[in-house]
Amino acid sequence: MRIMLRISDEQGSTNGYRCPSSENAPSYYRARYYDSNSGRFISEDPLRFDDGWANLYLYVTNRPAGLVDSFGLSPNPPMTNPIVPFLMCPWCQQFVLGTEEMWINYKRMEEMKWIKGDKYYHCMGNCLATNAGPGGAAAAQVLSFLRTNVRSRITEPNDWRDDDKANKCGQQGGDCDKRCEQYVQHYSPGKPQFHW
Amino acid sequence: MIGNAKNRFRVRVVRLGMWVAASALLQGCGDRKEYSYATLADAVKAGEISRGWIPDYLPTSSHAIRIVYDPSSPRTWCAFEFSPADSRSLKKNLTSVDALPERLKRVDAAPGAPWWPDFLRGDLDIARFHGNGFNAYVVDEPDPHAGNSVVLFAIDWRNGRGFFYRTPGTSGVTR
Repeated sequence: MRIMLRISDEQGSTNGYRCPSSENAPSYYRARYYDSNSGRFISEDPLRFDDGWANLYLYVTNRPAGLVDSFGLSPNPPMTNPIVPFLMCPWCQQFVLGTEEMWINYKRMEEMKWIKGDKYYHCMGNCLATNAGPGGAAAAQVLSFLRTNVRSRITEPNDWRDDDKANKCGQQGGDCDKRCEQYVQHYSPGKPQFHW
Repeated sequence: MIGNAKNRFRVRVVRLGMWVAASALLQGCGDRKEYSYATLADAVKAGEISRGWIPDYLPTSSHAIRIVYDPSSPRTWCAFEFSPADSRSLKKNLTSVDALPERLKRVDAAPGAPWWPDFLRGDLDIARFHGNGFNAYVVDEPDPHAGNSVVLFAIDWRNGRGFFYRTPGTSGVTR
């Protein structure tokens, strides 16, 4: 897979992070990749026939409106958050899941506490939320706006633009691992152990 | 009709999300964490140097280390003590300044850290450094990819006491 790099020319930012282009990039669903062009995963379901579906490449058995497959393993009604089963509209479920992704990545940033490593988690939270669907993308945009463009603009006037760039990079979605690792690939001192 | 109801429901969910986010933001004002280490070895063990919060050129005799930072920003406030006889590595890495660079003319107090000295709060004045027995130094931490940082050190060589404050930016000072 070819990843194209571009330099952001956003004014006021102090860093040289480069956000990989999302053109034609398959989306990362933790266990495998999903190609939005064909509407299929590009590798077999690692659970194979255990989930009862004969076609190992289908995404949520071709019914994306009612089911989610956040882990790329099997189609499920979204169950990771206790609120989600009570929400009837898929957009709302995605919004809650997106919020959850943002929160999980915020907590991971706190646990890992690498200096300047927050950019990775800004990117990952936004990317995974965006991949949850239009509702998740909305959650990413709303939360990032409030957290970075409102709060950090006041509390961290010298750093918020860099956070904003990382948010925007993540909001392009796609292969989050690749996108966000490439975004911070030149991070120093030494490449942090981002994975958990 | 159904479309309108759906839209109204979405607006409600977004409003709920914004309310939750606003609450989280207010709570998030306390994101900064304070850590204390009896020795530099303890700080190393906790990963403070490998994670980049404490510079690796602090004297090996450093002790009574107190550090405050917020993982979502490079800003750092740190106090440490060291043996005056063990100051070579630190001296080698610092650049003495007679005037503070623009980025370091004002320092917010370390939140919830009463040990952060008065002469390093608010609008800084080199004369107040000297009046308290400290000299002022800056260290640039250039990183064109992850964003530059600049560190202000206040060191009392005679008594082996030091403070540093890190913030994004550059000093513009050449060694």
